[in-house]
Amino acid sequence: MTRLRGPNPAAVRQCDRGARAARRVFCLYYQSFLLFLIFLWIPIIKGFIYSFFDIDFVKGNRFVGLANYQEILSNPDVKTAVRNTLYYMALCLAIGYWVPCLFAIAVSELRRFQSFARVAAYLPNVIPAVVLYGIWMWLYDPVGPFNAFLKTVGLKPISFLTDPDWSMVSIVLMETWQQFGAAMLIYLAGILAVPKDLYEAAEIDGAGVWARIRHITLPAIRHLLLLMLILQLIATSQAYLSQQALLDGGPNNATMTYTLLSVKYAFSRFDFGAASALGVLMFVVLSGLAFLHYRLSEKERDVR
Amino acid sequence: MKAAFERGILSAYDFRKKSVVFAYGASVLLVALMVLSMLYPFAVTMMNAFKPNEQIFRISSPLFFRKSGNGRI
Repeated sequence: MTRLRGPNPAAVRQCDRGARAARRVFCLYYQSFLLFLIFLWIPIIKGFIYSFFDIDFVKGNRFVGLANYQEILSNPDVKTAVRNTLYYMALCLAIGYWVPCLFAIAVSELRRFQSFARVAAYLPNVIPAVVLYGIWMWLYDPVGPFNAFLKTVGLKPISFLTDPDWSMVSIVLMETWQQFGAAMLIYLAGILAVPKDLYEAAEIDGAGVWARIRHITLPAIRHLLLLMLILQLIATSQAYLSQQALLDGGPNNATMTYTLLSVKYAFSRFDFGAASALGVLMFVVLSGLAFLHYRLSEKERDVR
Repeated sequence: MKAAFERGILSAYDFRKKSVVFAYGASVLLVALMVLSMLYPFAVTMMNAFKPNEQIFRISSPLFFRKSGNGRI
């Protein structure tokens, strides 16, 4: 007679442990999947669907095909918003893009107070943005410090915020001041990681200071420069916060950006269909930039 | 004992050239201006906390420090 053998206790324990680990992994994965689904993917898909509907919370939604797209493409305000956004992106590139790199090189060469300069540059990032906007509204005031300084040196005062020619420039100057510290720290990390031997070898070979910066420092951080360029393009194409908080798109739509207009379509005109159509077009453009960013990140990882 | 000079882009030898010293001085000045520009808005906001409204919004040049003697706290 054969004796029936029960399951091996060690194998059962191992199996239990494996099941518990799998359950734990599933719980963690499920949470993030659920969060992404509710707060990211469903709104994106709903945005796509809503762009083909006339949204009415009382009478119900009505399918209108491409009418929302036709409406926004024929609206002159949208053209103004696109032009303003491109102008803002170009100004940010011209005024704000090179500043962090320049200061990172200058700060990396400081023999004393380097840490203090780093902290000071990062200071605006630790203050809530709305407080900074309040400070800058006062600085830009017709009787504020900037105009007082211009008056002192014998120049005409400037209506920084109310002159349509100056309003976007003023916002870009403020944002450059506010945000360049973080970018500077990223560049600084890249510059300080460049081996010093390279500079020494170049100097022995007779390279001057500018040649060392041009042929060693800048090539060493070129991937960083490209990455920051893409990130800046993505961030500036969604310009909304400062334009809304400082001027609400004024004066005379001079700071009305694309994102701000889409928010106004949704929450001032309650035309959620057209707002969704604007969002979908934005999504398509930003997806292209995000894909470029992804490819560059991959390339950088391959280089390392 | 004096700490050894750790080179970056610039070496100790570079500082023998006047043009490099001048350019380095200019870059230090630029950084100093940047630091001041970062600190000024915060400093002026803190100083404004001690001033009455008419001193904050003076039509003539704004004051950094509170002007005393107007009888207000």
